[in-house]
Amino acid sequence: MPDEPSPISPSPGISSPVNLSPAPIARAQAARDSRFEEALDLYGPALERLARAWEADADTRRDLLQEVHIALWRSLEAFDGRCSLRTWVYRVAHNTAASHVAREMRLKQREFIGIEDLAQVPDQGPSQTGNQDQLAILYTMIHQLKPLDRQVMLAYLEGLDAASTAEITGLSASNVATKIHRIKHLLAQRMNKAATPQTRDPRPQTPSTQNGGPQ
Amino acid sequence: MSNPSSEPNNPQNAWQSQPTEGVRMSIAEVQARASAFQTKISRRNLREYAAAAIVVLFFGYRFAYTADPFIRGGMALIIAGTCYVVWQLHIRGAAREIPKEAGLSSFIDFQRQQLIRQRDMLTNLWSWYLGPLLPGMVVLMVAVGHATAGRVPHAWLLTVIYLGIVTAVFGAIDRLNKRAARRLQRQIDELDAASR
Repeated sequence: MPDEPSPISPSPGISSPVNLSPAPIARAQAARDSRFEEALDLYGPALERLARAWEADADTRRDLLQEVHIALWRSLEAFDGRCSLRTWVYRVAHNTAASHVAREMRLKQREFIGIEDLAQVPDQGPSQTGNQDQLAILYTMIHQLKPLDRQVMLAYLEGLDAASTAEITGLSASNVATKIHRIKHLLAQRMNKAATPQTRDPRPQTPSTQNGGPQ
Repeated sequence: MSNPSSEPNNPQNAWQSQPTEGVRMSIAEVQARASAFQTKISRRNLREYAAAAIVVLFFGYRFAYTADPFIRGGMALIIAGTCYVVWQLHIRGAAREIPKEAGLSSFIDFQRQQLIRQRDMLTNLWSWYLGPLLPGMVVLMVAVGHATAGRVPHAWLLTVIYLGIVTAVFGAIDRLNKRAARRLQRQIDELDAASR
């Protein structure tokens, strides 16, 4: 992903909806479509990773990703350049995904925990540190987290700084920094534990303990 | 935005370098899906309206062929209550899809709005769902009890039992929804605490 989002100007015709004749409407729609293409070019892979982080089930995840794309496309009609395209895309994606998870929570009566409590949960990750196993550790942690903390962790993993994360989540920058500090600490612990052979759990692994990554 | 470190064990590296499928919807696909989603919502609304229409038609038909003004009054109240509930479901159901302004709100603001909307719906269940249906049901049951008294053994006792059942069911629905509303309030409180 690019380090800095390109400066965005308001879409022509969007900020002044009064007396829109067909030509400006068509221009506004074309601007929205081109903004959507630009957003997918820049953040498409990040949206895929985000969908994996929010939904473990493959079929539901596909639906969620489509829901995010549709919500993003619809929302770009209201995009007025008050924030960067990156912030807009992440906000729409996280808000859509969190609403999806809220629905799932109600249906399945699932409970999630905060970063502060995650340290108390026994590590169920794999026992080696290949790239895939690191990912399994990450997904195991992410899928246990409450929506707000999940967003902070995802923003950290995507490489967003504290100020951008604060803009997307609505947390203060200092609060984000504290949470990121905890996440880093916890990640280091889990990765180190997995990398140390003598700390491996001698019990045979069950399918549920091996299934930390995306389904 | 910082680049992931080149360290092999850096979790940002592992995260960002994981393979993706390159899922990408074309504009035409997005438009088609958005339109299909709207159709799905319309069909769901239609099912709700159809259920209400059955109630209205049933009581409307009985209304036309019933002479007892007391029973007719109960039926009219049920029809009016059902129409009011459907109208409320229509208004409140408008927020089922993600609003276009989702990019303007941070997660905390957006989520807070959604939770407050849901909490208020559950907390005020009597004002828009249970309350409008109750008068018609009570009037109808009492009217039927009154009309059948003397012809049906224990007609008033049966009426009291039916009223008791309705009160118990409505009370249980209210209690369940208030419990759900308290759960939502806890989530709102958590968001408020996090944003401080």
